[in-house]
Amino acid sequence: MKKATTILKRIIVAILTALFVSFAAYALLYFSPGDPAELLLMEMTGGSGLQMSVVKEYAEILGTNKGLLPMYKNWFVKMVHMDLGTSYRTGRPVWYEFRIRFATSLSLAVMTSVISMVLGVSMGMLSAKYKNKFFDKFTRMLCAINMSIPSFWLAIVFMWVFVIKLKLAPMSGDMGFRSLILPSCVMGLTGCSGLIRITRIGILENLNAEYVLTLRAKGLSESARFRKHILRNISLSIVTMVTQNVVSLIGGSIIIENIFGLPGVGNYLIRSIQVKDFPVILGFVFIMSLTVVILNLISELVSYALDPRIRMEVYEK
Amino acid sequence: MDSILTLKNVSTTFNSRDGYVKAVSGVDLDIAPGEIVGLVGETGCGKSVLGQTILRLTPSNAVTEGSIVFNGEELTGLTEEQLQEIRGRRIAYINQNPSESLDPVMNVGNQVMESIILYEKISKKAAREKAKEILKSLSFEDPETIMTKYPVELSGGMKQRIMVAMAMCGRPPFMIADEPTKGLDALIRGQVIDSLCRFIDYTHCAGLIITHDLKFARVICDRIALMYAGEIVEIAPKDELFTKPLHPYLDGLIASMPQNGMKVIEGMPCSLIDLPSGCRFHERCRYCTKQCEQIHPSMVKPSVGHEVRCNRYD
Repeated sequence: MKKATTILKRIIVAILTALFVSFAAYALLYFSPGDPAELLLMEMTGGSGLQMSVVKEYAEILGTNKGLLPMYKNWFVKMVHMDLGTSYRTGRPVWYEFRIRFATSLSLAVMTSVISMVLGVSMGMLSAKYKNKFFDKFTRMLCAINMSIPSFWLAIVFMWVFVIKLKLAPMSGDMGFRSLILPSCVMGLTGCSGLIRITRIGILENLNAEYVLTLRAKGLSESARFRKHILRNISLSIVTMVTQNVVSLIGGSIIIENIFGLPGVGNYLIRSIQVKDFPVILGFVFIMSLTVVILNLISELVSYALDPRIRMEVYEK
Repeated sequence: MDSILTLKNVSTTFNSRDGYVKAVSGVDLDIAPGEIVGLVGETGCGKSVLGQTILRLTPSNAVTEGSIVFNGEELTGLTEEQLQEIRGRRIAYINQNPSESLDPVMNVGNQVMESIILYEKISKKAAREKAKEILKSLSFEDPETIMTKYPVELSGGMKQRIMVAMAMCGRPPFMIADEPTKGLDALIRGQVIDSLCRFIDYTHCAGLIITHDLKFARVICDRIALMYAGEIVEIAPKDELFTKPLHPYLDGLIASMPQNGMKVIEGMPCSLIDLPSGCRFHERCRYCTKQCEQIHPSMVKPSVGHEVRCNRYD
């Protein structure tokens, strides 16, 4: 019972956080220079010979002349009734725009997570196994370099090597699964450094823990000690790290989708920001920040399930 | 009678950043079947390392020399796999610091059952019954509930008794307990001592009990060995050790017991990296002579079963 109310409370906080974030994003754009009606008309007509009266009329139709708070109120009332409004630019419902792009973004996120997890955990394990040997030192050096490389730079290098030189992958655009390979490799690589380090440190710390001495004294073999105990003990920090990765992926994918021209959520959001398409910005940012907060909540629930020490803390509160 | 465990000239050295730490040097010890030997001494005198050395549980930077014969089998030459067959099944080891010595994310029932399944290859269900039985024999009131608890939910004394229960699972003929009463208050200490006694009764095992608590050693042990700076400096049947102490260090330790007025020994234990010449205790010894500063004393036997390492008895 207590658990259920705690979770409910956290979900309410999650929704409030997402509302605040979407409002902040909207307000920042609202105060930045440029009138949405003018920007949209310029995009439609090519930008020559716009008359002020037309712009004004269009602003009236869109409702962008109403001021910060009344516009937000409009959006909020609709949102409560499960309606995210329609895009200024395309005239289609925001929810529809999100849905058709979501699959691409989700596949990208899943592939990225799988790549960074497989690479991160396995390299971390090997690095711990060959501690201070060549492999470990080499991996640690690569990690340090990899951590300081921005993903957009890596994306351009990958494009040059794999698309232009080796001609292994399509340059950009949507060609199904094939076009997801390069972007997910770029983002997977960016995310795996942290995981390698966390896994390596976790294993090494646990190997020296007192409880492992007890396990050795019991007569448990090295592989059994690792499989049955150490893995479980390090899984906690890995789960936290993976969640962090997925969260940063939501932001990172905006840039990567743009570079690779993927028809994903992030790419669409960038284009909407350029013309100040407020309903899209509010709706997309709301959904994305809600995802982030809920992911964190899930990660906390997983640690709660994995670690009795965290359960104790919750009970004590 | 043949002894169950014989240590001959056992030394353990750690290769640390600051130099070679000679934690144990030249220890000879014979333990008969069913005999409980206490190993006492100050913190940092090498007693825990000696306990770990027997089962090669020392960290990887430790080097052990000498011979450790258990039941006629030389342990120092065994491979890690062969030693795994000895650990827990033939020689149990109860680690110090129970709050860190259990897997924090596995409930204690599963940890006890893990030992039972490892030694007896029985089903999980049978192991559960057996674990309950063992916990009950250690006077846990509600074994079933205790088994569902995680280490973090148990008190220090309970965790220590769980450690004892785990060590009992293999019914080993020999047991090493490292500081089983450390950091426990009087009442809980009584319970842990009671558990250890039940363990010894249940398995009829011999044992090496490492402690700095002389009073506890006198209760539970048959013989007591006193360690100083990695060496055994005196060994005697327990009562004789208290009534006829020979080594000046032992005099000091007995005088420092609470009931004897807590008079502390002057000075600090010597560094195990830079061992002093001659007798290792001479810097703190009030009987120190020129001879003590130069000649390292060897073990002498002033009376039957009572050995001491001191130039005064040469």
